[in-house]
Amino acid sequence: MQASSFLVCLFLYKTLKNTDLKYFLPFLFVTLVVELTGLWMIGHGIRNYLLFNVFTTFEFIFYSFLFYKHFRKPHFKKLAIIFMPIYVTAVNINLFYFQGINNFHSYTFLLGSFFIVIFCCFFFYESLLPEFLDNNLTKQPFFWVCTGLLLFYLGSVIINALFEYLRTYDMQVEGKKIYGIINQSLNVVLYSAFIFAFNLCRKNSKTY
Amino acid sequence: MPEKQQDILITIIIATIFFVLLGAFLLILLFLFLRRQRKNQKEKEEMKNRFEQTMLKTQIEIQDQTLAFIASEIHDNIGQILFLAKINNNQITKENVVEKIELIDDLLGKAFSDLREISHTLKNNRFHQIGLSESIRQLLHNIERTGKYSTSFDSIPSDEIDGLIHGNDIILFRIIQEIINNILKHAAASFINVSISKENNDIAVLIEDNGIGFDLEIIKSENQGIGLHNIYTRAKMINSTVEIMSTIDVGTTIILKFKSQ
Repeated sequence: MQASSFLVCLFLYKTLKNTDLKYFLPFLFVTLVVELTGLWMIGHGIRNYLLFNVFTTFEFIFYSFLFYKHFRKPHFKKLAIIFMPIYVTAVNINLFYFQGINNFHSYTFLLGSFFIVIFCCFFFYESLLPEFLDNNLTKQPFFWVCTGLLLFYLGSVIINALFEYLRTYDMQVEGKKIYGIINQSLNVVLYSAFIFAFNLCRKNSKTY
Repeated sequence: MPEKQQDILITIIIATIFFVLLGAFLLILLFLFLRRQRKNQKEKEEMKNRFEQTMLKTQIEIQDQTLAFIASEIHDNIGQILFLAKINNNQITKENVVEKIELIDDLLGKAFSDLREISHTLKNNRFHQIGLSESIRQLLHNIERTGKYSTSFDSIPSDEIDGLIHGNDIILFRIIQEIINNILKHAAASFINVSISKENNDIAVLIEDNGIGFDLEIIKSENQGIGLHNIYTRAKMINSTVEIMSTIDVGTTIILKFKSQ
């Protein structure tokens, strides 16, 4: 799914380069490289938590930057900017004092998820304001990005909150399976929403 | 797998589905709300456009009314006087030269005075400059000049009216003009009274005549009340109510109550 969304992004880059969605090309490239490296590491019996902890930090900062670009109210923009250093600080505190280097950083992942859901709600709230009512929401590519993010992070809250529990010895096999199924299903939703948004950019550029 | 663990996994799946559905529900709610908002906004814009169109139409009708008055003045009055002057000019002989020139001089003086009156009407017909009271006063003055009607007008000060009507005065004037037109056309009246008074914070405009009156129900049922329909529609647009009381062979009284917003 990541690979196909990267390919769609690459294929439509000509139309995306005039929008803020152009940043998705390097981001999806990094995502793809990280996913493939993660798979390779598992195949060779190497723990990939560090890789994914670094990547999720980058991921949340990227999404926050995207929200900063799309928010129209100055105080929402400010919040998106402030979130970035706060999140990096939280990741470092978690790394040194709580979950360490060899564990998945579920606490900061939940914190990031919480803020992304909040940012999605802010974006939807802005769309309801009378001054922005003229813009048709479903024709805005970022609305679909937001939809994907909202469903992905709302859906992944439970499995990430219980990540440590699912890793315990007696739950390992079934836990892994469930984690995989839920994560993959949510990835389908997220990356399909991205692909839809990229395609919408193409349609919009044809209209103008 | 022990039953307890299975329960936990099922709980995780159900909770995840629940959260995703919650997100989906939020999105549907947002979509429906936006659709309703957009519909409301569209209706509001349509209403505003309708109001602006009525305003424009009203202004054009008032202008047309003035031009029609001037045309009839020129045709029926000044035209006749000048024609009479021309006939008298053609009839001049050595014997009646002094008498005829005096007559022609009188006629030309009358024509000049009427022209001045028309010029005055044109000059002062800019509604926005003279306001509601003065426009009604002029309208009644022009009617009285025909010699067929006597009129009376009584009003509260103009600034008090302007303060309560907030720019809707042109439509109110057009309604009054339409009612008076109906009196002239159908009522066979000899007296028209217009009065503007204040009731609490509302404005009441009373227009009465001593004409033949009419049966409101018959007019409504026979679909002849297009003029009346216009009056009701316009009154509704400016948040005003219309009350009509008519008695056959006694006269008609119409009260417009403009509710200030």
